[in-house]
Amino acid sequence: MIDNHITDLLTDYVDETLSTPQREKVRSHLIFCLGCRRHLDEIQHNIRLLKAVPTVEIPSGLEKKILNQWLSPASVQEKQKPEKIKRAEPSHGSFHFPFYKTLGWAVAGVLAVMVIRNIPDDTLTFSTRQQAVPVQSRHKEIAREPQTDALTNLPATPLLDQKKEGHQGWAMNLQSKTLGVPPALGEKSVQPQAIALNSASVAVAPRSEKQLLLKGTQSDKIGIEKQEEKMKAQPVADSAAAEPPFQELSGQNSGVIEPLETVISKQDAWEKIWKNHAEFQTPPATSPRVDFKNNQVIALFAGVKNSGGFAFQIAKVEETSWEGKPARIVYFKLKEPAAGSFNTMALTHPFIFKVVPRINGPTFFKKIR
Amino acid sequence: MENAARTDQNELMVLIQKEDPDAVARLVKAELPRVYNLCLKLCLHQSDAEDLCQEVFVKAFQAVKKFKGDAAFSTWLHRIAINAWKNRVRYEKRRFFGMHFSLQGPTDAEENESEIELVDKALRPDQRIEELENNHFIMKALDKLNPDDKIVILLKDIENRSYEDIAKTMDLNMGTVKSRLFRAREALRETYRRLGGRYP
Repeated sequence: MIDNHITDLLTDYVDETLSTPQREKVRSHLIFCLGCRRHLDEIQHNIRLLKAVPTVEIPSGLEKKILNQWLSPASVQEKQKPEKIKRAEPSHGSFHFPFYKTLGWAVAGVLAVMVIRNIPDDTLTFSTRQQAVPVQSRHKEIAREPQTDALTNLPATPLLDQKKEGHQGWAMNLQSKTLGVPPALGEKSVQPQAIALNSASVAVAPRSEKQLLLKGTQSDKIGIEKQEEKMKAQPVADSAAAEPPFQELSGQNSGVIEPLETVISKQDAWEKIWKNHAEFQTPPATSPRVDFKNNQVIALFAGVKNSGGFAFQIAKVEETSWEGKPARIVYFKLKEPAAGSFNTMALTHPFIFKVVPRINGPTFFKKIR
Repeated sequence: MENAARTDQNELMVLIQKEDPDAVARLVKAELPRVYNLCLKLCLHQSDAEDLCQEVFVKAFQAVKKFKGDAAFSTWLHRIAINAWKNRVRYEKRRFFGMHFSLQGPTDAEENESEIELVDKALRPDQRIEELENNHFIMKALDKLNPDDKIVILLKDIENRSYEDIAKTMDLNMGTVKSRLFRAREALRETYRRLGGRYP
């Protein structure tokens, strides 16, 4: 017994395996000891819950599978070795690494960081799909090219003259297809910015200047122009396209900052809740069109969360009945960031809207894990 | 009554040992629901439970000639199920060595798979929700216990087995079963509370 309590006898008391004198002793103790009474209640509560766990029906086909295994001797022989546990293939964003493999990756990562930190600041190299050109000869070729950019008609930034500046080894020819590009003269401290040339080559230019240090071919320039035109035309094309019917919308930055689970059945209520929801947007987005004659919108707001990584998911919407009326149970999850995962450190307000068929009855919300 | 059942079972076992397909089918039909439910409550994953269930029957058929009939066949099958599950747990532990990590938490597929709805579908929606909540905490708490504690609680409180039967299934003596049950119930109480389960 612990401190005059009779907790060690309670299990036997519950299972009625105590002798009569012991049972009487426990009973008389329970009259006066609140702690043991609570303890007993908790054990009984757990047993009640466990006994209430229902029996589940066998999945269809399982009996047949087992009988087939019995009837085909080959499969029985195959099964003589214990089956290895099947695991789902690791999907996007999730890794199931054995310990040593993970350790190997970690060491490789540390080495990579060490190598990168040892490269001089004014040296940058990028892989290209261009023909392998020896660094020295390529440098000369660049230096000989005209000093005006055909695309922008701006004078191109004078290139670093290796001999004049006395820089040695400004490019590291790490691979056979690696092309080093010198920083622009007098722009050593400017942070470089990558510019895609026809998605085949990469050059380095000073930030926010429309100048190309590495001259591309004419087709490259046409490619860029086409790409720019395409980008300009994109929003117009998007708005022109017919708006698809709104079904589900979720995200992390709602203007509704209180936790809320609701069903919207009318247009004015929808407008009102959407106005609150889009409060943080500039300009506020217009509410998506919903046919409230036939549909309703389920809206869930998680309130303020102190990081990214939270996301709503409606797992199942079950139609049922409640006091003779149709009813609905919405099973939803609020996915939380896993321990140790990398997430945005900002306040977020996760939300989800989902269009569901209209019913004239109550909706119950059930958060599942 | 029990003796008559035992005699029937022994006759059935003789037929199975002679590899009579009808007898095998009868036995599978009779024992599968209990074995599957035990496997499901051990694994808490439907697909894992199905795999384990198949493994149990395959092992049983392989070893059926060694079955002497000193215990009920269901006890013997449960024993196979429990040992197979314990092997799996041990294998999992060794294989992953606690190195299961994820950048974005469990995937949706994993999450959905882990949810088995142990709820009576005849209940009203509000009762179902309450029961789902209760079952969730108690099953989660049960899953957190060490394998031996989990088995003893499963057999005693869910399967309603007698101490004697549990002792045979787990190959322990009665005293050990009792002390293990006490320890397991205490651990379950603590874990249930820690996970957020509420007592009335």
